[in-house]
Amino acid sequence: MAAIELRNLSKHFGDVPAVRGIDLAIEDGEFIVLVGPSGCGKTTTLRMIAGLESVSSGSISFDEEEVNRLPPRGRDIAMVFQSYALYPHMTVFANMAFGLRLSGVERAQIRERVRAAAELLNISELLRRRPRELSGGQRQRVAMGRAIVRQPRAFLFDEPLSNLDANLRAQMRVEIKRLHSQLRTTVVYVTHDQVEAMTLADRIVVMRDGVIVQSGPPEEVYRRPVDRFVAGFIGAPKMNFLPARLVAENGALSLQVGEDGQAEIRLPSSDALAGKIGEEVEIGLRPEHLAMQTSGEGIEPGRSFPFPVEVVEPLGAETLVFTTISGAEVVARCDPGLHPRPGDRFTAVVDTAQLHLIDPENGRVLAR
Amino acid sequence: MIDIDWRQVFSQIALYFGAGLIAVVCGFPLLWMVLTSVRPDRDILSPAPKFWSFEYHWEHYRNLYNLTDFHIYFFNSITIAGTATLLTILVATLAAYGITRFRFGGRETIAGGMLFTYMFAPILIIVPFYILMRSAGLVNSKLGLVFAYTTFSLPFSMWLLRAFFQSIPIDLEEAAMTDGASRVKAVALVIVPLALPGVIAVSIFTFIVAWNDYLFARVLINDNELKTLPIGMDDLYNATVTDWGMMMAGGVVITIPALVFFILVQRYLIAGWGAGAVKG
Repeated sequence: MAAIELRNLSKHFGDVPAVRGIDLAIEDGEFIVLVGPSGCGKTTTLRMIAGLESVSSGSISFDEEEVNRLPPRGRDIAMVFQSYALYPHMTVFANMAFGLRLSGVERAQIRERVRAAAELLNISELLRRRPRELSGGQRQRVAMGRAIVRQPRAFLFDEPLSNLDANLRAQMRVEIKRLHSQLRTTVVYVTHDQVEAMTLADRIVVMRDGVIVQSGPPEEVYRRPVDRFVAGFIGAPKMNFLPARLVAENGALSLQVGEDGQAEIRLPSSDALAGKIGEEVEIGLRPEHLAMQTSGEGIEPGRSFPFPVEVVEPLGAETLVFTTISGAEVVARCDPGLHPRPGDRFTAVVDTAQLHLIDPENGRVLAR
Repeated sequence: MIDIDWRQVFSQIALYFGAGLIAVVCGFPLLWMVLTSVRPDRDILSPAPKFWSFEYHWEHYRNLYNLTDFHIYFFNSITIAGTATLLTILVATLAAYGITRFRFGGRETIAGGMLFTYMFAPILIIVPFYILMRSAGLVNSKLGLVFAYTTFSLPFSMWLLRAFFQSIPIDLEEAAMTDGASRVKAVALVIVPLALPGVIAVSIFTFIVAWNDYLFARVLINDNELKTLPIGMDDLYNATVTDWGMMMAGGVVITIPALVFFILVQRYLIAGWGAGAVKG
């Protein structure tokens, strides 16, 4: 196992910067998920850690030893590829044993380690088959088995589940998590799927345009995003963003929601917002922080706005309801017991403690 | 009642008839060569050609071995063609890999220009090639011929292998490297086995180019001890008395190695190992 540290790490492809001076310290045994949209530099970062991509500037250290110039074979890492990358001319056993054979491990020990890994992954009966005879999920397991048998210092996963169907992906997520809790090996995992990031990570690292935007435990990144990008990227359905104006009356702060000020939401006083009074802001509100009610009775003033239902998406355990406020689409989670239908006029009650105020100019979260 | 599609039946019959006709046209000279090589001279030179005869013998083969230097030519051809094949595979594999995997100035020009070299017939380059070989001291040497055949086979071989390497996902090579292989080992253990059909095709092409060549061998070789089979056969033909039986026996012996080589390697030509390597 290894602690991995990236210091001021950059990568340029010609004149195009892919990763721009990132700093990240990954603890021994930690499960880190690099997440972000396509082209954010997450895969390039992973490939630099693997040694498959050279470093333009900065450094990568494993246990405080710089590995910038070490080839992949000198880093003692194992990588699981998005495409599985199984050797098609070898059996499953030979695929899994390949790395061990290269490092000169004795035959008996190779057999033992491959069998143990195969049992762990429930692929013992597949050892004589070739990759072309396996299903997508089985190939994925073999790819993980090939990584596990080597007992490396760190596992690197490059979007390993993105080629699987939704059911299998959910199943493999659990298995990867279980494996990590058993092996406690350092994992760097790249994905663009925020659900994978939330469910697997000890710590999520959100990247955009080659820089780290936010790094922290999943709960923290979800509850306290630093800007509009993170707030919108993490969470499904996405966070709602509503245009509003911050106003102060008799020392009390409130938000006028929508361009015509159709609703008012009262806020607790905040020094951070003092300079923004009278200005446009953006409200960030997660769908679960909007409670649907069939009438506005009994709701204290300054906490709600009308919610005319336009679209309904029943998901079984919950139902999503959609409406449009001042041109912005708003989604809320709704109790299926309310039997929402398009055309219903609900009242949305805002959990003001969970409300994010975002500066529309730079996207930073001003207050929460 | 069975519904017969007569159009399909006739098209199948026509197809097999056409294929059979081509096989007969191509195969008859070979059959005649084999028959002639085992017939007595009087049958060979008979004014009325006999297709079938019960009198066969191995005299021409014995004469070929005892009265000529055929075995020397045969050995020379085998060693030269074999060495040229191995050298071509080595150089073409490295070159095709380099062109496929590394970025460098002029890469696409080199790749595109490979087949351009075949615009010039060998007869056009034979004189400059001879001058080059002479200045390198390689005229009248087996090595000179090996270089000649390698030079002539390389562009096509590189072009062919490049296409194979391009079809092999780079993930496989990178997986091997993260598994602990050096680049050379990753290529040797993962890439080359997957490009085996291409390597086999290259080896067949080079072997046949070298085995059949007359022009380079005629120009570059003077010593009888260094002659290859095509030159040796030509000398037999130009002898004072042309022994047709012995010539045909020579023809049979020349054909066998190429045939055996092709039979041995052709099963590896089948592609399809690539299936299942990566998500397709």
